[in-house]
Amino acid sequence: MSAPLVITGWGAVSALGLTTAEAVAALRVGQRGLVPATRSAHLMPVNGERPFGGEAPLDGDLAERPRRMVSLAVEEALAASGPASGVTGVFVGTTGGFFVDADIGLYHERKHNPAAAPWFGRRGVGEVAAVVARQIGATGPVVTFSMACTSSAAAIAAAATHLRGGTCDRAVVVGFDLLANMTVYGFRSLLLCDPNPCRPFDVARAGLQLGEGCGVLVVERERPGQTSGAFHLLGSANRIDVSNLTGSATDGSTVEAVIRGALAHSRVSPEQVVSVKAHGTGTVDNDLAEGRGIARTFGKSPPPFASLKGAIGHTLGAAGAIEAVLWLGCLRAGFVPASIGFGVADPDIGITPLTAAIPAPRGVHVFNSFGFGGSCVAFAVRDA
Amino acid sequence: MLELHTPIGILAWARAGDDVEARHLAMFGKGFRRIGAYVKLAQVGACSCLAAAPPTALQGANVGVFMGTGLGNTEAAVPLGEGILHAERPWCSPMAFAGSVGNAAAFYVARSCDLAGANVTVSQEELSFEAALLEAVLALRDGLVDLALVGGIDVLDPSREAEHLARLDAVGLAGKSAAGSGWVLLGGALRHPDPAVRLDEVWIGQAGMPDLLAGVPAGATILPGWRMAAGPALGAERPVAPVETRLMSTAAALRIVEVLDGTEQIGTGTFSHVHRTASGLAARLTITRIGA
Repeated sequence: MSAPLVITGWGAVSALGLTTAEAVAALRVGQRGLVPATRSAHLMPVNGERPFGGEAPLDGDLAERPRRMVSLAVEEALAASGPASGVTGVFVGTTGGFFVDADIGLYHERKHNPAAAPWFGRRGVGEVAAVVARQIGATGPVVTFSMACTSSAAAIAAAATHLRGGTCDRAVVVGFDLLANMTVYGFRSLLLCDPNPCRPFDVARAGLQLGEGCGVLVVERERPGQTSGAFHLLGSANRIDVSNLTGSATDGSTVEAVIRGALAHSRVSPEQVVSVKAHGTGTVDNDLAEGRGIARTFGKSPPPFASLKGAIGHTLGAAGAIEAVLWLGCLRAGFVPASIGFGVADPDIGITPLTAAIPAPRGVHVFNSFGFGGSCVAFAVRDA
Repeated sequence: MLELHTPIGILAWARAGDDVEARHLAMFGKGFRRIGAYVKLAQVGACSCLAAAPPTALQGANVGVFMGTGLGNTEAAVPLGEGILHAERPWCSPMAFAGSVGNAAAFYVARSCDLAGANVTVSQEELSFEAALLEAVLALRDGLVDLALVGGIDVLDPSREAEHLARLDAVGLAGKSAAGSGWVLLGGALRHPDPAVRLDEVWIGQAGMPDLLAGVPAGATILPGWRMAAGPALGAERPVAPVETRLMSTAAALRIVEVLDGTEQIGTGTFSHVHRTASGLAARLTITRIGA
């Protein structure tokens, strides 16, 4: 590979707070934040109860919150990254973009004028990238990936190929998804939601909690004399698993293939991996497939691994970016976070995630993402 | 700018349009139930493209699917959203929800063509096919795939044309909306050193018209995208094909295939598709038919 790629900045808005630092502080003590990141007053009640409660970090005008959330995360990442040089590209991963605008509009329309003809959104999912490109004055490629729950992991991988290919000098990667009625009730229809706090990799796991948020990473080609202390973004892999539209093969074979593919593309071996940020949704089959895939790759004593979804919920297309930001934030703060919600090992998986935070080891870190549509993405990062 | 010093070959191409139902039935029988026109357009176009490829090209190759769409699977997503928000009790069909995700079409393409490589789905109002093509080229160069099956797909519900136009920021252009899919199969120079059709360049970024046109090779025919205006802005020194008339985010995919299969006659040799959005984001891709 050519010049190393450096992750020079990041930012996140999640259920754990409006900044990465707030979320990292919560993860250090194992705090759950299974509430929306915003007050999602547009979510439709069932039997008089709204699907989410609790105090949300991001308040304010309902219609302004989606853009404010993105703006906050971008500002945090750019402030950490420092001044731009050269051409900047924008790479967004999202399932719904600002569709939540339509969701809010539809909700109010239904509430106030049920007979009115419905409408379906002012713009498509690409609007988030357009807004970010304007915000930061990007002059390079502007690309939006909509690949279910792998969307922003794919955006991170794509940013690396763009930087290596020379289409831009700096990549701003954004993962964003906000709770919308369509996703909330879609996942409920699939019976994939646990009414209790989710328990990734636990033998009694019974589904996921939906979350929302925005994660942003700034990636650049390393410049001479650049301040150290950052992370190098290595290689990636992307595979389609055609066994099922909603999940990977439960024998773990595709998970193994995508992790090994990312390591091979990164030119590192499984023995060099010191932590794995698992996708870990808390659904029975996802965790079975991923746990078995990790075991097939690393053996019965794998590197420390954990899911963050027990802390922030499943943020769908944003998950790859938000979880990467929080994982890197924890590593920089000196620890690998625990897999919140895990209690009892599943003998069908055979390996267990971290049950308590541990000191951060230096080496290669693997990031997994899986999603509907057979999408499987993994990428690797190394301490600089 | 991404100049392809190591050229990329276009090994095959195909498209699907109004004939999709009959072709889908002929290709797959009744093997795929509960899928709509969007997925069928993807399957028929993509599988026809692979079928047209030299058989040796596919042997042992890691083939990735790179798909661009302007508005996604609206025929599935719109009724789903309305069903949830306009029902007495919010609920939906589980399979309808799962099938509405942006990358579901690429999943069905991979399943029907027995592919296991990358699934990359670009979804944005404009330049989505161009962006998918750029992702494919970069993935080929980076060694992530051996071959890239690249397509652009959009569907249209005529009763919702006004909403489509609003989402494309193209109000006032009613009556031109279209649907269809176009596909090309890309291969790198190492595996395919002598392609009959070569992708010379693909570029996306902010650019004014002079800069966008400056990169068009001398003598190349310009294929202007649907938002481009005919006339002096495109210059007088190069041959210019008519402005694209179909108002469709991924019209470039269809048109490039139509040029390659001879449906649209624009002369021989090199041609450059150019498109520029209202916000100034622009794309240019240049293709040469060797020996044409």
